[in-house]
Amino acid sequence: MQLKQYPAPHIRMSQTTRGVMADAIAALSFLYAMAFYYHGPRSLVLGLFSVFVCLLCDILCSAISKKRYNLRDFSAVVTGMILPLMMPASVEYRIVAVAGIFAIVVAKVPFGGVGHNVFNPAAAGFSFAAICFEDALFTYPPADLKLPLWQTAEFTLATSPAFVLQLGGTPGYDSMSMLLGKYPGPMGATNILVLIACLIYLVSRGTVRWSMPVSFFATVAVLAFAFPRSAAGGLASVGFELATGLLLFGGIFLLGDPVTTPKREMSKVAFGITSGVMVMLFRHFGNMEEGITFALLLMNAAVWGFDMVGERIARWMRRKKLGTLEGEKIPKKA
Amino acid sequence: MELSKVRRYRKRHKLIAALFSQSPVLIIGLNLPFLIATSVSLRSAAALSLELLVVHMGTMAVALLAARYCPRVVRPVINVATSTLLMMVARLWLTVFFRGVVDALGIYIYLMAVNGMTLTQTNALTKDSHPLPVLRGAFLNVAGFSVLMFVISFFREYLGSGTLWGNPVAVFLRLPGVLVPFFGFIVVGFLLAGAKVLNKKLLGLALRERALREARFSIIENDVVL
Repeated sequence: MQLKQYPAPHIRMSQTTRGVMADAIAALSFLYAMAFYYHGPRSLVLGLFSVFVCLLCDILCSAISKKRYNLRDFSAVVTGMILPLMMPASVEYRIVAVAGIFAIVVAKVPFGGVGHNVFNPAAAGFSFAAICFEDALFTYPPADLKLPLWQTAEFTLATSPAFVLQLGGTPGYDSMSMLLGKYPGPMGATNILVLIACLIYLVSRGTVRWSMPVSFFATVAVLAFAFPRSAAGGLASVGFELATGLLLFGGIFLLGDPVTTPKREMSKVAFGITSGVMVMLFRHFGNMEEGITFALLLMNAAVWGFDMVGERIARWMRRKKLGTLEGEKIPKKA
Repeated sequence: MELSKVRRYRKRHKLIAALFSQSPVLIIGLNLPFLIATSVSLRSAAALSLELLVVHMGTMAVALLAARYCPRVVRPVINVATSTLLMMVARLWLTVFFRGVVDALGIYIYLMAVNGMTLTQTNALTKDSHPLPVLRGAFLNVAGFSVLMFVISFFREYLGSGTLWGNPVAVFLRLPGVLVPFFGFIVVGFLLAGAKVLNKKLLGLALRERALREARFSIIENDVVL
């Protein structure tokens, strides 16, 4: 018998890394379709360019570390697809390249690559780009403006409703415009209806567990109601907080990353709640209009704590025969 | 043939090991705060390197005497008092050449009086320590710190500020993000990885050298037996 050594956890599931990545790519494709509808072919070219940069970095890093590159691993493609969707459609190609290089070369490969990265590569890449190019990343073209492939300086860029909220104002867009994404904002984060459809698709496929996004969005909603940033009141503030900026997009595609989140169900819920609190703290006290990526990076660093505490609680519950909180009951001895 | 290759390799890399791969700054993280927080311009790298040279070498020299003639209890006090005095002298001297930089460095100029490298190495001295190897080692450690400071500062100043030694230079893409302290951690992390790879390579060569020597001796012994 041949014994093979693998790192823990030793749980086998029918779900594969390739399947998870394929689901994410399918969901992100819908957002690219919407971005193409609103901003023209530039959005698609940005996406392709970003995927190319991320793949190239991944292959080069594999070559440097003398590892065989796994062609069936689509993680670099997913990272490459996520990055431009968090940016305005008018963003320069070199900014996308910087974010992609940082995501792969700094946030992914040094930690051991797929399945081992501590921080979400896309969140890290976007955060670095946001620190370096704050003006370029937080000014957006009008929603239904078709952009040329290369020149972007011929039209006026506007601020997003998230910026208005940060200043304590009330965004002047009606509910339908907010739902359909007809306002200046990140390329893939404004189409609320499509994002909700993506969430339903990913949850139904089992790629994203429902517990984390639900606890995350619920926490944000409760905090937005309790401490509204908008003068329009608590209920309106809940809508604005959830619909503006990268919150919904991040809650689905960044928070749902199975590698950088806790393993147990109750840890996931706790992680979602804490992430919600952290995001709202960044939104209330942060300098930038968008702090979700920074909040998630901080939370990524604390995942081991959630896992450790969750495991201890689960072990205690097993000993006390209280069930597992994962939906299954421990059978009693006959 | 293999042994000559190993010797040539080790000779060539002896200095690199002293300055980079075996530097206590990278290996045990001494003086890391300076390397991370202040390595944003070549001028500050020069100022801090000169300050460390004065503080470290001077304190080591006094600590050698203290280790020989003073009781163990008072030695740390003497060492810290010496390094503080030397820091103040160095600060006055640096203010003449790097006035703006000294002001910008702020607390880090004063923190050099209690830097980890000096404190650790002075307290490790005994009355049997030989002055020449100790001072040579101290100088190499300062040189190693300076090399790392200059390498990181060059990278961060060029990409972050688009300048070199305060003079504007052409840069394809300015990345102000590299001036943030967390990026210092990242660069140091990459350098540490490089040092580990180099050390592994040197260790592998040393092991091969030993194996070859043992093999050669066993052949000679067999010949003698035969």
